[in-house]
Amino acid sequence: MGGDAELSARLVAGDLDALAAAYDEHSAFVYGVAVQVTRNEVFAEEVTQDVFVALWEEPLSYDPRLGSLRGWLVSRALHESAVRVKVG
Amino acid sequence: MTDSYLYNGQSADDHVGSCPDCSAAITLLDQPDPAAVPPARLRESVLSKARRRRAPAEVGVAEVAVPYAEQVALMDELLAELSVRQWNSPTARHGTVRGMIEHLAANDAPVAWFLGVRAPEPDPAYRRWREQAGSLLQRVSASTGALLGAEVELAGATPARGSLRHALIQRTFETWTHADDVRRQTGRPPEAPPGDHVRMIAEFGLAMLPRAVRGPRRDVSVTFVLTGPGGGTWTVPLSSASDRVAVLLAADMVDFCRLLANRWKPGCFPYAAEGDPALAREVVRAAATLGCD
Repeated sequence: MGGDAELSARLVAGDLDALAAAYDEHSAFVYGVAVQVTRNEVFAEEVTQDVFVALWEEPLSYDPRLGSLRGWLVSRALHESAVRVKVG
Repeated sequence: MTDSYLYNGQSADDHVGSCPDCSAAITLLDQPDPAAVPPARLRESVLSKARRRRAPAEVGVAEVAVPYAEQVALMDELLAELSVRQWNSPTARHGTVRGMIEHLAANDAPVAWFLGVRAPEPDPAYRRWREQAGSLLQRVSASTGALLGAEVELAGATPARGSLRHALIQRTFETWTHADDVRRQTGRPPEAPPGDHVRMIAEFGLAMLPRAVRGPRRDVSVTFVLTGPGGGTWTVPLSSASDRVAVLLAADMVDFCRLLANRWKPGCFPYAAEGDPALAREVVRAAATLGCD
């Protein structure tokens, strides 16, 4: 077993190392999207933090059957960034 | 993203102007590689905030929760791809694949119930099993290590009780066994969990073995030499007054777990034994009764 399904299983089981692994693998994409959309590094850090903490808090909200973890994280980052740009 | 502009008469350009998600997505279209290295301190901030929001599983809890979570994820992948015909295809046990998953969910239920999970009864088999297993895992990962010693009902043909730790190892074992049943049903090769997970399953079976051995009381032990990833040597006393090793039985670790699940028939199980051959046969027969069907 490997990849996103394994990471997802370990997150559900409460393994914080799995979140660290997900962060190491995908944070540059999450942060990168957030920086490009918000054009603000402070907002981008908040978005990155919120996206990864949400994955940890509600690990079942990511369903590996429906797509990649990176895609899920980036789409959440996109949404969070858009909201921040709108709200300011 | 809202797609109301598709039917409210608004043009796409007007919509994008007022929709933050679409504006953000279009911004990215011209920039195919959005990767940017975040500040190094952000990693610790994320992990620290995560730890405050949801405590990580204690080490002893993670030791049994992670193997179960992995088998649940593998089973989920297999079930998600099944066609209606495959769901209804006849199986050697439990009628059909659907019947087998209903059986698995029913065997998970006492552990889920113990942890406070109430799966909705009328749900289709797949959804019921999936939601129940996911909730069970979330509950157990948030519980203290002390709870692992609490006694719960174990699955199996003979009523038995055991610790929550043993019950979770048994859930991993049964989920793996039925995942291999689904693989066989759909023409895929069987798969085995990592060595340390298989080892926990074998140790669970060896602990249950003495009560399954039939015949006169024997004050002897059996030494198992199980080979392959996770393998090792275990000496199992068949009574509290055991004074010597009567049989040494050598077999493949994964095959032994499949024997426990009764996926190897005792008469066909490949093993080598030194010592009392009749006792070796009885031990192999007894091992094959420790599954969850």
